[in-house]
Amino acid sequence: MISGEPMTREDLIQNAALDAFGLLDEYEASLFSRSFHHAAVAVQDEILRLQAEVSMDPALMADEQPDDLLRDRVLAAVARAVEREATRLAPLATIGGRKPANESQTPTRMRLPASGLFWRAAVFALAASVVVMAYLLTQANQQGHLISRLALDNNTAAQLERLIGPTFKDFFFDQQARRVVLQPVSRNSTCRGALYVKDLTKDAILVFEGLPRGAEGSAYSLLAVDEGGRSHVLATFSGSEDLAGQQFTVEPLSVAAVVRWEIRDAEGVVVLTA
Amino acid sequence: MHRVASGDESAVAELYDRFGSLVFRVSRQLLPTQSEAEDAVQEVFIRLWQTADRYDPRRAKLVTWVMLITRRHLIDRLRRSAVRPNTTGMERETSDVRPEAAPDRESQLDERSVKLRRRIAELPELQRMVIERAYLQGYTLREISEQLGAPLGTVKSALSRGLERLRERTEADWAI
Repeated sequence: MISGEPMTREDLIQNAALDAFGLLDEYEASLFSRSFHHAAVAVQDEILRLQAEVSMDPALMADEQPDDLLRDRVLAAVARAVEREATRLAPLATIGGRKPANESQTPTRMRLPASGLFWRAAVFALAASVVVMAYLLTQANQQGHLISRLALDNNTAAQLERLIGPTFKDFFFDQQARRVVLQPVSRNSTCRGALYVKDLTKDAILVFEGLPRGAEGSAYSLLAVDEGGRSHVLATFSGSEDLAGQQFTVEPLSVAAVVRWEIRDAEGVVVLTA
Repeated sequence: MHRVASGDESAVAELYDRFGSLVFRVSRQLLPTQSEAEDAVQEVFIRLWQTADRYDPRRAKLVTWVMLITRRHLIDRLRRSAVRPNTTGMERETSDVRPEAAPDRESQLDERSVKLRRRIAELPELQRMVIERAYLQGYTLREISEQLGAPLGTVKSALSRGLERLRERTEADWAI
């Protein structure tokens, strides 16, 4: 819980530019946001206008205009990124059902919109716990392993509900929840992890597998590294080769201030990161 | 932004048409070469697509959101490439306003960038140092406070006043 009285209108105005530039530290950024939401609508409108003005103030940026060709390059770059994400996640949509024989492409637009609403909706429509977990944890070159394991374990979702509570579905289907896929540092590692973080409440869940149990009393740590390079331990937990989960809070950090997430083993070695 | 989040090409194009120039100009302000700025613009728009479903219009106008994402990405990029100028170098550069003193660096920047840096050099010392570190180099206010040995509140006030003066100075220039 963030302490401190909400900022006054004058304080909000004074800090508006710094907030717009992301220059407030995590405590003040959180206080600013909380104060903003508590302020009168007229004050909120004033702050929004001020921040927009300073954000696009020509005095604080170069005058040079971009090359005309940059537009096409940007659109192509985004299209490639969407394609990569779609390729990585596309097989999930076919789990539990056969692919239509005459499935056609849609070349006139970016194929298979990959992020956010579409994939959550697709998985929800399939309504299969196996798919939920595959979506959370799978990587393209490891899908077979995970899915085959999950196919053998029909109680995975029930297991996760027991471990984390029924709230894990709230995180997964929450359109506002931030999804972070943790990548193993070692190429040979089979560990995987994913975070779902709610920016507003700062509640989060970690789901992982393939982290070996260490010696008695040893534990893994989940850390958030902020913009200043400082590491903050958010949770400690025991390893598990099987799917396991952990609820935690990002408090007192501002989620937006986190630039890197890490899971470290008992020796402090980073094993998963994003 | 919902359409951008779904990867709608026309929505991304619309987003670029509205903000591409701004994103480029800020990138050009912080990065030394045009090609780096162009690469950064591509990365920023990919980031905007990745974060589009998190945009809340009740919290910020879209331009504020876009520019915040842009600035954060540019600072991350500067840190990753370790090209952030050290403070001594920056102080020397901006305190010496003769263009011939640093022709190679200034030739890479457009006229407005050079003017901005000269205006920064003309600020009172504390405001200048804080602006350089925060706005041009991406240090947090707390880091600057520690670097300068000044209270955090002092640093924040100096940054606010410095930004105000930069904007006022530009308006005065235009009024002449």
